[in-house]
Amino acid sequence: MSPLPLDGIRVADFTRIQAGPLATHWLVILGAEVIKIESLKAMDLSRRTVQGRREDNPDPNKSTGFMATNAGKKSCTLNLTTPRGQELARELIQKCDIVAENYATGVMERFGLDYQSLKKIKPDLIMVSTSGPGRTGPEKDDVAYAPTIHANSGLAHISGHPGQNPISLGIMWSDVITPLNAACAILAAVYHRAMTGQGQHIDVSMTEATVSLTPEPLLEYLMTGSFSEALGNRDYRYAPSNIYRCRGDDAWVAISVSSEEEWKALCRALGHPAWAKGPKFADNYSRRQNEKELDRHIGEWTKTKTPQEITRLLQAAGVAAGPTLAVDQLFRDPQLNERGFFVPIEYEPIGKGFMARMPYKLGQPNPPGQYLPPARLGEHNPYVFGQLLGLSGEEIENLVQDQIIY
Amino acid sequence: MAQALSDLKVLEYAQGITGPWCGKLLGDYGAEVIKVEDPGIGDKARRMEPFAGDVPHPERSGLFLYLNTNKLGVTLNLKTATGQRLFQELIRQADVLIDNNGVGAMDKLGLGWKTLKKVNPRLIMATITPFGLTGPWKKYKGGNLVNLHASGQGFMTPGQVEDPESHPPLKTAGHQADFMAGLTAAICTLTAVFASRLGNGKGERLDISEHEALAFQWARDIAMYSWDKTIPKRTKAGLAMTSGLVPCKDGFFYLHLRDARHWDTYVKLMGNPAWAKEERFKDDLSRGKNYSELEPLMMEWTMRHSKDEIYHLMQGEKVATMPLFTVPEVVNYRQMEERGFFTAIKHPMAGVAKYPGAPFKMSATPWKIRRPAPTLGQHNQEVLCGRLGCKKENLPKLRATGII
Repeated sequence: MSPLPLDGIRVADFTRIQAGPLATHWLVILGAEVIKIESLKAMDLSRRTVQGRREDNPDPNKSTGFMATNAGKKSCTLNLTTPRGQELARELIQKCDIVAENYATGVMERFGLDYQSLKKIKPDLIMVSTSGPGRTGPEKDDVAYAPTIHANSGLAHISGHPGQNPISLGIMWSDVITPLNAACAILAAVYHRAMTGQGQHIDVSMTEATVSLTPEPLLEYLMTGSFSEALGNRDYRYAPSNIYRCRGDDAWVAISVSSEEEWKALCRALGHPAWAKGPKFADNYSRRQNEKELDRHIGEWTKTKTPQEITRLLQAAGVAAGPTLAVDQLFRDPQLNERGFFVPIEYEPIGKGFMARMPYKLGQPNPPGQYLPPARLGEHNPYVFGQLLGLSGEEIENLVQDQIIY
Repeated sequence: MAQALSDLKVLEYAQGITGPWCGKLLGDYGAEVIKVEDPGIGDKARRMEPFAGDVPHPERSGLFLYLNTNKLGVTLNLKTATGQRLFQELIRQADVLIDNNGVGAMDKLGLGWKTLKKVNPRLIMATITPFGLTGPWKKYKGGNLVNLHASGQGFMTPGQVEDPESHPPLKTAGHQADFMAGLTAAICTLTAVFASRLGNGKGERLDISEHEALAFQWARDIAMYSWDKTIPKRTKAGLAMTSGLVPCKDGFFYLHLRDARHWDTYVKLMGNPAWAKEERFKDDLSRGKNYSELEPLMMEWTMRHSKDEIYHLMQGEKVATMPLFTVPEVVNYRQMEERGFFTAIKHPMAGVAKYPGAPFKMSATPWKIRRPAPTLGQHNQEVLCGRLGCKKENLPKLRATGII
């Protein structure tokens, strides 16, 4: 097998929840050696999710919530609240290329592990810090999680159905937008370092990353002085474009028509119903004007069929349509399965399961990528402290006794 | 200061959002991006709202202007032999081609991967399609709405509803599925560039599926389902935290109480009301279950305070709470203002406007706007004469024959 792109890159990973670990998850798959640094005092918070429930005293090695974005990472335990623990962390970082963290602002400073301190001992270090507000500015000390970012980035205000109260998104959208940006930043920095030898600090704000992907209402306000209300599933240009109730439990299909040609194709697929004739729906403008009525007619048709039937029928006619899938249905998605999207993983404490392949194909015929089970908490203490840092078995034993390797 | 990707040359023949967002990310961090558009019509985003001053015009689309900063704009009719020849010349000088024209579209123009890799064996061709280049759905039409719902996102949105029938699955605002696909494409492209530059120097075809890019975002739910058979839904049942949007004096704020300390702090700020000690609100689960009784009681206090007051009171106690900002409030958020997030850009046809800026800050190689989005064909002479050595006197003829 050919080497992976990030072979030989070593990462000290201090990230603790969602947005942090998902960024370094990319680096693992791309071949980097990622060493996760946790402690019994400060574990990754997702270890608390066991069998879909949040538990206060879980077995840290059985969390499926942890598993998904930490598979393939090595694990060591180090108590960073002790001076010796901090010293060992610095020694480890000197043997790494990248440091990743998503503590609240100020925590890494308290540990003496902030970028300004670290670059003195490792000048070409790349460090990525992910936080809600970003590492500078008057509100830099704010604590934040994805749902609060949905509120202060405007996302909750601009999503939702017209005329209704703003919504809480439910999904952890900013928790996936942010690490994707962080991964992009890291790769740009790794490239730059390979070309010039220069390292740097990357500061990712969840609010800013989220806003950069939701520019439309903000641009509208900045360029016209006003902004439109939330549109729900509808489109501001075309109709019909919505989701429709289908046959089956909580079953829905998305249908999106964006040209006259597609409108004609839709009418054809529906068997040229009487309601579709006449001026009410003759052109896109009229369809937008009479959208509620239009959606009602289409809904009458969709509710007699399953989302999959409608998708097949409309796509064959040349209309964009797709089912609204829940996660169990994703597993039965023929397209994802055909393309080998689900990678089997076996991990002794919880058995066999699957993880998502990275969303593109690298190389042929199948993506070589590092898809490994997660490590048990502290599994790589002998490797990290013995092999990498050169401590003797006795020294390690003492550090364990002193709750520094802990 | 140098930029991270300054030695990278990108050719973009893509329109709408997915491909151009990928091109913009590379361009804003330093790459030279030449954007090829069809003569006369250009990128379809030129016809997308909002428009500067609310005046629809292909040079005034805010979305286009946002998505195409730092790009040189040329027009080429790729249905003509000369247009194809000039495109191949540009390919010869490029490291990366970004294409989102659909499965087989470039092959139809005689500019498919098999041809282009012969023209430039180092070329990395990033092709972004709704469902990928292979598989039973490869010919399916996608787009923001369809891709977003088919990936699993819609099914979980909005969260915490009482009745799923009256609250159908929802797409989040804007074109986030398309943006996520573009961002994923940028990551893939950088990976391939890095591997190629440091490895054997060979080019590669990247097959980026918007469907997969979005489904991957639920990596956690996918793994959890495969072991635990848990299916996240948008219903309130099983809510394990007292969290959500709470009304207050001037709008809403998001209350996020992860553990007992957070609840205690919040109760203290509310002045320790007697109801807070009642059995029905004793822990997270009970509060979630009895939320409809809890909310009006909390509102006795919250309706007397503004979202900004509550935000600062709670953050002062290190509890994650944020105001629900409206669009104007986001634009005027002093945190982002101090960080210089919104950036003024001057464009010859659209004038000066502020746009969202750096999605991430790089200390040594910062994000930078070197030029505004191009007008249609703005850099024809600079690129065709300057880079390809066309004679200036030939440009009128190329223009007259509809090639540029």
